[in-house]
Amino acid sequence: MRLRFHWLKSISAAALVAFSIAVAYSASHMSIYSDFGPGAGLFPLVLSLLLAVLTLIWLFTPVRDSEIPEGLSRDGIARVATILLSVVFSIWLMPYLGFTLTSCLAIFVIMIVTGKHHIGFAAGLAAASSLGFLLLFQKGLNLALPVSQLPLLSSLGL
Amino acid sequence: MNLMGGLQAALTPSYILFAVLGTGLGMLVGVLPGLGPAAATALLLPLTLSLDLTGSIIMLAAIYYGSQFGGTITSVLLNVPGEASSAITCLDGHPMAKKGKAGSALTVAALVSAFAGVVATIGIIVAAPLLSGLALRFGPPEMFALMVFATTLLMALAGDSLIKALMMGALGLLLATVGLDPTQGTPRFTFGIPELFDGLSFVPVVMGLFGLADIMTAIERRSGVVALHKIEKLLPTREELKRSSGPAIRGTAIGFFLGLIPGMMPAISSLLSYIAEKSVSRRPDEFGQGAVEGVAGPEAANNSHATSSLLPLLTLGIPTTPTIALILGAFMVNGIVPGPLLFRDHPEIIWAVIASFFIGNVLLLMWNIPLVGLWVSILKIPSSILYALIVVLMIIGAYAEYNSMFGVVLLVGSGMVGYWMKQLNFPVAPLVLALVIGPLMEQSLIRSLEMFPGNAAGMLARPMVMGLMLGSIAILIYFSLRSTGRFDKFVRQDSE
Repeated sequence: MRLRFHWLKSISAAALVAFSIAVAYSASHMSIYSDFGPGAGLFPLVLSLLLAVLTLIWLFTPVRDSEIPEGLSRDGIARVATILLSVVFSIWLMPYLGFTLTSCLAIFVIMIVTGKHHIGFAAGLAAASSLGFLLLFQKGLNLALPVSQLPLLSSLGL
Repeated sequence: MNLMGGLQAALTPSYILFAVLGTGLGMLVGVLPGLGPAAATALLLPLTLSLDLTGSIIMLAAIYYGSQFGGTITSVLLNVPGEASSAITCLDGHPMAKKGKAGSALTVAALVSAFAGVVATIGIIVAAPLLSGLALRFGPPEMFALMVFATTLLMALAGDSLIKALMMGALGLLLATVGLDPTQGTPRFTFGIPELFDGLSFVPVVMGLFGLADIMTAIERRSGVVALHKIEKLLPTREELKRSSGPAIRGTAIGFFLGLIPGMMPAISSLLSYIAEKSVSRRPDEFGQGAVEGVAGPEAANNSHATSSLLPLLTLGIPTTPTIALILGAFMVNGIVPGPLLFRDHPEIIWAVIASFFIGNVLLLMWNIPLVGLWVSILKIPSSILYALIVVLMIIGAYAEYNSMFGVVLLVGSGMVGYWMKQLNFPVAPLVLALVIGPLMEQSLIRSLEMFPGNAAGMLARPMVMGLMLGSIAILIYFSLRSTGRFDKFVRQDSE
């Protein structure tokens, strides 16, 4: 696990330095300073260079034992991935299926994978809560949530 | 408009309702480990655009100080702090619960927290006009220097590694430059995405960094069945109340003054209060075994801290914690910049908000003492159900910010970054604070540089700027020496 942590640190540092260099490069093509005063690129240029320097210092700072995180279990990874994928799939599905059906699916999947609830209970709760959210936010707080492109669902306002 | 006017406004039914909602939500996020006040505030921030601003600020502030109350319940009943500031309460609160005194511990905590909240509010009422009057003399260089000082202090106190805190601060300031630049309106890092022209909205970012990342971390280490201690007798004995009075006063004082320091988290006030109580107690051996002083002092300290930490925001426009940075955001999205001018230009908002703290603390007593059973029932709901519902609420909040799925994309991205930060022990607070304070800091810097064309060092001729800048440098030197262990070595050598 220690080896993996060192890899994570090195990859993170490389990504941050690359990000800083890209920002500094973009900022250098903006106005830095003119007769009118500071330009758009001054603040990001200084900050990106600072971030790059700080990242390099961090990279070469010895790792203390207290900094090394505990390892992840396979089940733990699966649960984290479920949460993440349910949001990612919501981004993809919501414009087509609408808010109600997508959120119902997300709640159902999270409950089944992370809580191992009974399918009937999970489905019932997912349907009730997504409809509840729709009523609260769309009807109660006047927030326009995405409506399904499927004719049947859109005709129901879902 | 003054305090009496504010009190009259805060007592109107609609503002009382906002306070009830805020304190209730604060209690809820305090009770739920894995969901903090920052994520809850971010979740509700888009609603401030469609709700009354004063009512929204009353609600958001109530979430913040209410969460300090809620965190105690899990500390006492489960030995799991709902909030970091309640962690120290586990030491004596949980042993009290084991002895069948859970009700006493919770009631004492609620009473001293309400006392501390009320006293800290009186402190704000006294200090705010004085501080805002002083701040009115600040020009852009002083404001810039003050923001640098506050941000430096926050980074120095965040986490156990100064370098990581500085990295996150720099990253936050860098992310804050996304959007149109404040001088010429040049698009920066917008990649042609219209949603980015107004800058990177901190609502989905904060929900991702705090809410989604916290849920991912909590669900990764799923806990087993919750075993709660029963609440048999709710009222404390006269002896317990007597023993709590001194710690309540001392804790309130400690929390109030530490709350004024940017970056000083309520958990530090709780810890210092606990240490103070143990050192002045005639029964120090009882600490850790269920001493009521070990509950009363820290609980008073964290609530006093939460209330007083709003003072720098209201008078100087400086947020001291991520949740307060979001309250600053609520003001800003409604076109109001908190700071010294707030008392002059919008007294109807500010005095109503301050007066609502009195009402909020009374409401929290009601939420805590007669309704403690409600929170115990919520604790029995499986986390998988709560997290599923919270994830959907976050999707709604992120969507509402841009009225498009772009907000949800930001939420996922920030959630992944937050999870990565937790794996590498990066502190989240500096990033969020820098993201919120960044545009203000850049504006102050630009105005300052415009005041001294071609001679930026001229700013340092102003005594306050010089003092604050030297203070920032001293903090950086002290904490970098301390984080490398050289300071301790130096002190040891000196004493030898």
